[in-house]
Amino acid sequence: MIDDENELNALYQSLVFEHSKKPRNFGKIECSCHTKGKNPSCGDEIDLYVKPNASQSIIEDIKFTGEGCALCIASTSLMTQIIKGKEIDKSILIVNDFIKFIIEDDLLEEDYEPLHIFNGVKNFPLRVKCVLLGWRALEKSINKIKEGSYGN
Amino acid sequence: MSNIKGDFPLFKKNPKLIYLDNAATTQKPYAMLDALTEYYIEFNSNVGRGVYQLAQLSEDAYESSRKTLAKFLGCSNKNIVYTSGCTESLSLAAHISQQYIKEGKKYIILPISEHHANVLIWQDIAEKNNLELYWVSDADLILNPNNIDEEILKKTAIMAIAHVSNVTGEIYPVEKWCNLAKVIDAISIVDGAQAITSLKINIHEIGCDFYALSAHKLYGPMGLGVLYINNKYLNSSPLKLGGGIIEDVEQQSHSLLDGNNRFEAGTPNVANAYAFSKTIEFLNENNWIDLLNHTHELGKYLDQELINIGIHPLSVSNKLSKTHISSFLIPGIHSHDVGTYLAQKNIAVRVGKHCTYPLHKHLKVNSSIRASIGIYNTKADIDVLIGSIKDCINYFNKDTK
Repeated sequence: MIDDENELNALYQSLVFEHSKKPRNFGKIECSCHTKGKNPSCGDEIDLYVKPNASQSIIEDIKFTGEGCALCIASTSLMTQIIKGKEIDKSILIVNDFIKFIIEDDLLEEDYEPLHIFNGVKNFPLRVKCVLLGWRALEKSINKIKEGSYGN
Repeated sequence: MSNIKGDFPLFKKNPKLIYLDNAATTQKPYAMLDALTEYYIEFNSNVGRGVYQLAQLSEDAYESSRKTLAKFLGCSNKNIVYTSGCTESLSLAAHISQQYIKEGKKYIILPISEHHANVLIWQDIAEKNNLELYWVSDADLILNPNNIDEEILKKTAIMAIAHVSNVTGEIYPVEKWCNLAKVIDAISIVDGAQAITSLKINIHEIGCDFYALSAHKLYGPMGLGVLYINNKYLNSSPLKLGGGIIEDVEQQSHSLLDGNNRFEAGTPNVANAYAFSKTIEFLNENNWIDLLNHTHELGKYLDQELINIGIHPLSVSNKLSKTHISSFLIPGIHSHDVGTYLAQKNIAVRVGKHCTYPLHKHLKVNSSIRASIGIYNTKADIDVLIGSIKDCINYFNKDTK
C-alpha cells in the first residue's frame, strides 16, 4: 500500500492541488483565438483563449475555462503561466518539448521547472490525456494563429 | 454464494482485486473458458455446410446453444439471432425497423438515459428516413409513457428503450412501453445489455419486437451478441449478405432462407455461442434467481452505504426500482481523480459519462463514478470501496483543511 501511496503522491503533488483548486488565468478573453479541447474518454472539456499581439508574433494573453480533473486543470493553469508573454515560435517549442517529455520521456528544459511535477503521470498512462488536454488545445490555437484562420 | 468467486480464475491471478466494473464487462467462469477449449479441440469445423461427423457436432453445438439461450430468455430459438455484440444487435434491429416505417410516422421515442449504442443508430436512421428523435426526460412520462403527448404518439414509428439503465441501474417499465407501441402501431426495441445480468428476463412477457444483449455482460465471451426478433420481422432484409443464408443465387439476383438464419451470413461465432450456453448452464446450476437476489441486495447495501457518507447515487426517478449499478459524484473531486485513487487501492470502477452524454448533460453532471456489482462480489467489497472513498475524500482535501 505504501508504494501505491508513493505513486499517488508523485502524481498529485501539492502544486497540482494548488493549481487545480485555484487555477491561474481562468476566464475568457473576448476577441481572441478560441479553441475547444475535448477528452471524449472522460467528457472533460476546456475552452482556451489565446490573444496574440498585432503582429501575431507574441502571445499577449492566454486564459481558459472549463471543467476537468485535477491533473487537467493544474496542467492547463501552469501552461498559461508559462506561455503568457512568450513569442509564438518559442511557445511551439515549449508545447512540443512538454508533449515529448510526457509521451516519449524526453528531458525537459530546466526553464520550465514546475512542469516536472507531471513526471508522475508516466506511471498512469490512462491519465496522460488529462495532462495534455490544454496543451493539445494550445497546439491547435497556435496553428490557427499561424494560418490566420481564426475568427474573432 | 460466497465461494462462487472460486469459479472465476481471474481472481486467482488477481487476489487483491475488487472488481466493481461489471456493467462494463463481467469476469469469466471456468465453465465458459473450458467450453471454448472443448469446442476448438473436439468440435471445431464450420457450421451449415459439412456432411462429415465433426461438422454435425459443430452444428449441434451451435443450434443447441440457441435453444439453451432461448429457454433462458423466455422465447423460441427460432427468434434468436447471433451477432457480434449488443451494439450490432441494436444496429440490426434499427436496420430491420426502418423497412417497416409507415407513412405519416415521424418520431423515434427514447428515454434520456439511453446508451449511445441505442442513440447513434437512431440518429442515423432518423436522418435517412426523415424522422426525428423525441427524447423523454420527464420521469413521470418514462413511468407512464401513455401520458406522452397524443400527437407525438400518433406519429411515432419506433420506441427504443433500455430495460435497465447502465448509469443509474434503474429498471424501466419496458412492458408498458412495448404494450403502448402495439397500441400506437410502433415498433418496440429493448436494449437488454444491463438487464440480462440483473433481471430474470422473459421476452414473451415483455412483448417487444426486438430485444438486444451481449454475452460478455453475462459472464460469457466477448464478441457475441444476441438479437431476439419477433416473428413479424423474420423475413426482413438482413444487414449482412453472404454465405450460408441463401435459397438460390442467380447471376443478377438471389433469394434468401426464411427465418432467423438469414441474419447470420458468413461464419458465425460458433465457439462463443457454445461457450455462452455453457455459461448459462453454469448460472442455472448455481441457481440464477439466488444469484440475482444476491446482486440486488448488494446493490441496495451499496446505495445505503453511499447515502450514509452523504453521497447520493444518480437517479432518473426515485419511483423506479434498482439493480446492480450505482453512479455518483464526490463533490469537489473530479471522478477521474477518484478513479485513479481507487485504482491504486485495487478497486476497479468506471469513471466518465458511461456512453450516456445526453443523460449526463440532462443531469448537468460532467462525469460520474460508476460501481456495478457481479455475482462474485461481497459485502466486504462494498465496505472496502466505501472506506476507500472516505480516504479519497480526505486525500484530495488534505491541503484545504
